[in-house]
Amino acid sequence: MIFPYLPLPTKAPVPSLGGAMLRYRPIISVRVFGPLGARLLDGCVDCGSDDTIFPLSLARKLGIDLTGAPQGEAHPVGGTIVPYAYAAATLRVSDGVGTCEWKATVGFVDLPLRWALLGHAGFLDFFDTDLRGARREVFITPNPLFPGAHTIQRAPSP
Amino acid sequence: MMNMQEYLKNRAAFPLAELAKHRGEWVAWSPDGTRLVAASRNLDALDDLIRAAGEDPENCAIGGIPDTDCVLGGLDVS
Repeated sequence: MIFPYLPLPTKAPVPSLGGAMLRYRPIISVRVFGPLGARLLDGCVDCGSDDTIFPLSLARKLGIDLTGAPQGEAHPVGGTIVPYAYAAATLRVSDGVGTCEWKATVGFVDLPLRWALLGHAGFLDFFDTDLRGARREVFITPNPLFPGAHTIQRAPSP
Repeated sequence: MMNMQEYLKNRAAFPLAELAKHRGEWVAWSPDGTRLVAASRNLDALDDLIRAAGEDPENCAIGGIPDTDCVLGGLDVS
């Protein structure tokens, strides 16, 4: 499956990008299912994140029960310790050609995340991932660890 | 039913100047990725705003527009 990087504007020229006024990010929209419904939330492919993390408010909306949930904690770069709760959720990604749906144990953090973190456990462990910088796209292929269903809707557009 | 190919193509081509107006906010994308149907500094408020715009929250992708020019470590909560 192929997902184009999402260009996002910056406030000032970025020196490391030759003065560009935007950054391209490997963001994939992930559908998260719970007892009360589903939501489509942007997630950033993040090999620096051990877990896959969503905002706690999403769990509330979807009716995902965090009562007695196992707890984890993260140490963001230069930040303070951030606790989060683990729960099982069904996730789905699609590029319109292929769709993958699987159940994973993910974290829910009580922070206003700009986007979910698609980290190793729950996401990257299940996909062979190619960040194609020149093409500004993410290519993911479910690997033998992928625990869900992979369906092909149709051939990719030329 | 969303056409994901159309959505991804349109969203990647969305005008940056329009997105720049929403720095520091969460935005909800139309199912075809051609427009923003809602925006708020309060993530929890988006569902109601999406419904008020006549769309279904289950079909509108939500994402944040960073208010910073550089994110390190992915955990951007600014």
